[in-house]
Amino acid sequence: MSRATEQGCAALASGAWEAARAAFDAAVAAGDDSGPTLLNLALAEDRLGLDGRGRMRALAALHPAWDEPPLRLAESFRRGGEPVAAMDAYDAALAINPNRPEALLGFGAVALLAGEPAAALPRLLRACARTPDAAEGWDALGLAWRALGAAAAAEDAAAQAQTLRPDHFGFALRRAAAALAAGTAEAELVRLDAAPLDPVAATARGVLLAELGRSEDAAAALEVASALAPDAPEPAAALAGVLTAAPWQADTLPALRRAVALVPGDIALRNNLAALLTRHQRHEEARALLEELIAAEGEHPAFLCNLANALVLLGRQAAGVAAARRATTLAPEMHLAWRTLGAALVYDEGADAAELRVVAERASATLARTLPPPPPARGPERRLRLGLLSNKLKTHPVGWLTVAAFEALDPRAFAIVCLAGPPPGRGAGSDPVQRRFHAAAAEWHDVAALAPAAIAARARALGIDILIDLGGWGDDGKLTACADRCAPVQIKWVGNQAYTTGLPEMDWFLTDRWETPAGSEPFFTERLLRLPDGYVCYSPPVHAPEVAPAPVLARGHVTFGNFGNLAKITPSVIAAWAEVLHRVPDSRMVVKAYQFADTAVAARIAAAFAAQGIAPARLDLRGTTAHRTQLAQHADVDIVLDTFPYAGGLTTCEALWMGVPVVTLAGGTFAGRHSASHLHNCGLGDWVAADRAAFVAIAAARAADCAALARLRAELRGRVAHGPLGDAPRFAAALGAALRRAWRAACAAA
Amino acid sequence: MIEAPATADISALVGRVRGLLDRGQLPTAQRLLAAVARVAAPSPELWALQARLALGQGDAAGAAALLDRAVAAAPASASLRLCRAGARAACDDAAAALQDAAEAVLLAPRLPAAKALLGALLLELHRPQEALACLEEAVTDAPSDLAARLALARAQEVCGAAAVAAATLAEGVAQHPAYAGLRTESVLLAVRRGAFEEAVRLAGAARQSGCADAATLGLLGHALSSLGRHDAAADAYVAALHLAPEDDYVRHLVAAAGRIADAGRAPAAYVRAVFDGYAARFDAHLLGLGYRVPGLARAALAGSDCAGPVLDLGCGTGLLAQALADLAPGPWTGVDLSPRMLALAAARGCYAELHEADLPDFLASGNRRCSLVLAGDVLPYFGDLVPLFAAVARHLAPGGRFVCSVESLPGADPPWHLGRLGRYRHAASHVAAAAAAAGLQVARLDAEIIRTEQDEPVPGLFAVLHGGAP
Repeated sequence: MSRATEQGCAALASGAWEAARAAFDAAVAAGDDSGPTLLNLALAEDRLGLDGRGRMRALAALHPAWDEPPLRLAESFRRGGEPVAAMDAYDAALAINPNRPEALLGFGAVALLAGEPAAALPRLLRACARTPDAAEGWDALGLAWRALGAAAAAEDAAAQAQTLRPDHFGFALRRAAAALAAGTAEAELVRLDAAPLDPVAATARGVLLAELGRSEDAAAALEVASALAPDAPEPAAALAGVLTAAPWQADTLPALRRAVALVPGDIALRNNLAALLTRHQRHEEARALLEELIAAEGEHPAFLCNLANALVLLGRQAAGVAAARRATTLAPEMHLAWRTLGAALVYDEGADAAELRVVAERASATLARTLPPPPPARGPERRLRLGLLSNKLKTHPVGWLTVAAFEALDPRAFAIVCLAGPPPGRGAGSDPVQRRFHAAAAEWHDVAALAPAAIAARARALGIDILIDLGGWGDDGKLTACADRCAPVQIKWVGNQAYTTGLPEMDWFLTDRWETPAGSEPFFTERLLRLPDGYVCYSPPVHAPEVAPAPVLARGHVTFGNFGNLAKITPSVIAAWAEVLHRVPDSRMVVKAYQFADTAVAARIAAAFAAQGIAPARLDLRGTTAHRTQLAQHADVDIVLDTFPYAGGLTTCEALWMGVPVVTLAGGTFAGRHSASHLHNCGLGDWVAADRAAFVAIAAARAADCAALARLRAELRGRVAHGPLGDAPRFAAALGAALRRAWRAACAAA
Repeated sequence: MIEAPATADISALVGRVRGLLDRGQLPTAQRLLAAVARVAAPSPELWALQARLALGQGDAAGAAALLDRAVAAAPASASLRLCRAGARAACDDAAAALQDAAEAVLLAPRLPAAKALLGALLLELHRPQEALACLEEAVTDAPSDLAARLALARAQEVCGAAAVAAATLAEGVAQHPAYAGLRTESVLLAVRRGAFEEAVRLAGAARQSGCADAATLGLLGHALSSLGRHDAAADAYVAALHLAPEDDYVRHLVAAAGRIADAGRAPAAYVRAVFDGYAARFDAHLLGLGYRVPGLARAALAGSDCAGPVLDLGCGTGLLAQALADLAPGPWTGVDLSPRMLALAAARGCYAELHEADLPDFLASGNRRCSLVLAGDVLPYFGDLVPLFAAVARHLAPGGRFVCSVESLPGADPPWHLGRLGRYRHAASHVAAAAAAAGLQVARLDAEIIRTEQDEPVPGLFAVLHGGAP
């Protein structure tokens, strides 16, 4: 071999195509026109995008008994994604040398990818017979058998591959998959368990357990695999996948971060990480990651949806709406895109109930309906099985706003059946609100792992008469199950209850006359089931501190406050708050939002106030605290200024419980009128403004009368406790009557 | 394709197991530990980890066995002794645990946890003076050790120095204001001392600090109730129920206060708790004194033929059997919810059979053809008597008698009412109606004083009802 061809071979081996071409060119120029030199030159040219294939064809014609040129040509086609041409070329090589293993295996692999397992099979059988020690052949043969439905043969072949290369993750995973298809998963689990310190076996075991729906065991196995092979991407990625699908695990985020670091090319993994970051309130990090993803990979609608959520939660509602709109344009049949758009629009300035209905109906229209209609409603006066569908039957706004009502509902008229996550544990460590639901319920069923249609089927099997959705669409909501009708009567109540569901299958929307005054009907696909007082029943926390004296008495100046969520703080909200601060000299404002833990976010909001002429000294931006501390911090606030168009809900109830009145601007959407409902139901109807000017005027006028503020503060807790907002027996009686009304209507229509 | 390393670093894996145990991820820890144990050489460290896992999974005996091996391999390790003492205590083997704790104190005299455990075990083994000395040292060495302080306060109380115990707890509360266990213990101590104002003050402070748990709030309700502040007591019981919604005891008190719907009877768990001595926490004083039903029954049955089987419903410690055994030879069958009461009844030797059961469940099956059925002071735990009387009637032989007492409710409407103290009172007309519905003849239905409570007579009704014609 000449020095030039030696250099060329070395360059080829290291992927230095340009150097290889130069070396072989030089060799040819020096008179070397041998087949191998010319073929190597062709290979380098092919890799450089030049016409290497032409040279290969010429060589094949020149040396009809030499199988190498057609084989190389086939590999070029395979790399280029041309399976038909590749298979032809492999066959040409096999016509010369019927037992050339690379050609047999290459043909098989290409045929499998092209969906032609029957064509692959005979070649792969020959490959395995020729080179029985090559694991790749058995692996491909296993895939071919599996594609042809020969599960037992597939498992045998996969077992051969895995036995030949026990350290190979892919072979082990495919053997486990073959066992699953062959119905021998349990035996495979036993086999894998016999190698407890083998990370490959532990990974295969974990993936197989996950396939079998045993996600907790799967996570344990994959944790073990990750501990055994901390640098291997397979266990990390598999663990991240299991944890993303089962977010009950606390340390999902580190696992996913590790997986992304080990498998940076996995786009879905990065998107999942961004979604998880949002769930963990790391919105800026999520936004940056998503913008990076979109810049690198293009505008995938799933990225845009996650980006829209992150932007809204950062208080950048308009940008969030734009991202979500782009997603609906790119993927008009994608449920998530419409759902995300609705969830963004409802926070944005000018939120419009009519547009929200259109968007909700588009979201609803994308859902599959698989079940036949349920049996009709019968027995208008009998005891009813009342299903509560939600993963939020716990310490959560859903809990604080509904649990007392269910506790007080007449058990002779209704049996409560919870369709929720795993039942609560007993004892001090478990969630007391969840335990209250559990104690109030006649039955508790864990449907967390079920698909929507399976939830609907379960609800029907359980004989649910009326189903109340308390979860909504996003954030682990189960509302999609309602498209398949879980019960003859379905009702939407608290839990992402911000606007219509758009579901024709949702019969009623539980509300009141403040939330949905007469004339609101066109904005809802549901019928409005109005309760006589408020639409929720507030259950104050046992640990709420005592009401503190009005801070204005000691400070001599009024302090306004808002303890909501940055997603609800729009530019107009900041402008209105600033106007109030201008109207009330020396006044201050405390704004508390968990997003302010990120100092950059807090600085952006401070700058927005400064742009309205509010000096930083008048502003107190606070991050998240424990719930009880948040309640206690109402001691620093005289008057809460509400957000719009998305009003406070639970935060308004909590302010009232802590003695702090709220000025609200009643908006045009359901989400925009929560505070109006709560205020009317504790005798503060005159704190509800119809427009921004009135909002500012009411706030300024109330701030001017400190004595009245102090008096009201001393009374408010009692008004909540003994008024419609907190009087559970009164509320439950009204709720029971409304549910009965809905049931009778269904019976009459049946 | 990155390939896995052929071997893993055992000590790193052990560290990972420890981390998983710390985070409470027991199933994962179990898997990894099992994997490590198959390849690593056995060691006290590994056994201790396995013991920790076993304890976490509720297998104290398994943990103790593992620690036996560990202690044998490393006899000079005080911490292993201490671990085994904990495991043995969890196995209810306080004497063996005591040995370990004493060894641990000898091996590591400066380890406050060892003295604290030793003291707690001495106290459990009724050696309060030694416990006191040991725990005083433990708390002096480690004033912030909560377990030692709690045990010291108990020892002080047992030794008759309740006020000193209260001061010990108060000092602990000042050091650890957020620790609910100390707060509850100090309120409980005040209640046991009858210092109800003090209990209310301590519980209020706990609540204001946000660390009152369900027990503290239940005790607050009890203290307020004892002070006659029944509305505030009801508020406290409601708050306790919100934190412990599955607690039927508190639920019944909330119902008794009229804050939630009355379930129609006292829950079995409530009755069992009251009579099983859990009552000591809340209302030992609710249990009546001057109980007159045995005497009334004796007078009513004297001179009549009582041969044949006797069924004693809610037999308790067997007061009725003792009073009537010579009149009614039996055989006697007693039914009660409280195992502790039944144990005392068994010791009297009057009963041929004793059953731990809820009355409606017990009466639902069979027909015992009794000549006498007794229900002394048990009907106050039921609302509607109609189903209960019907069930009793099925167990009466022709001509058999049903002797029972209720607390009386004036008037006829409502027919029964759940009182603040958790018992139902019944109208005479309801007793008569329930008897009639069950086909029983009223031979006697008289107003009687059933017992006294806090020196006040409790007005009741004493009834003798006859089954079908003899």
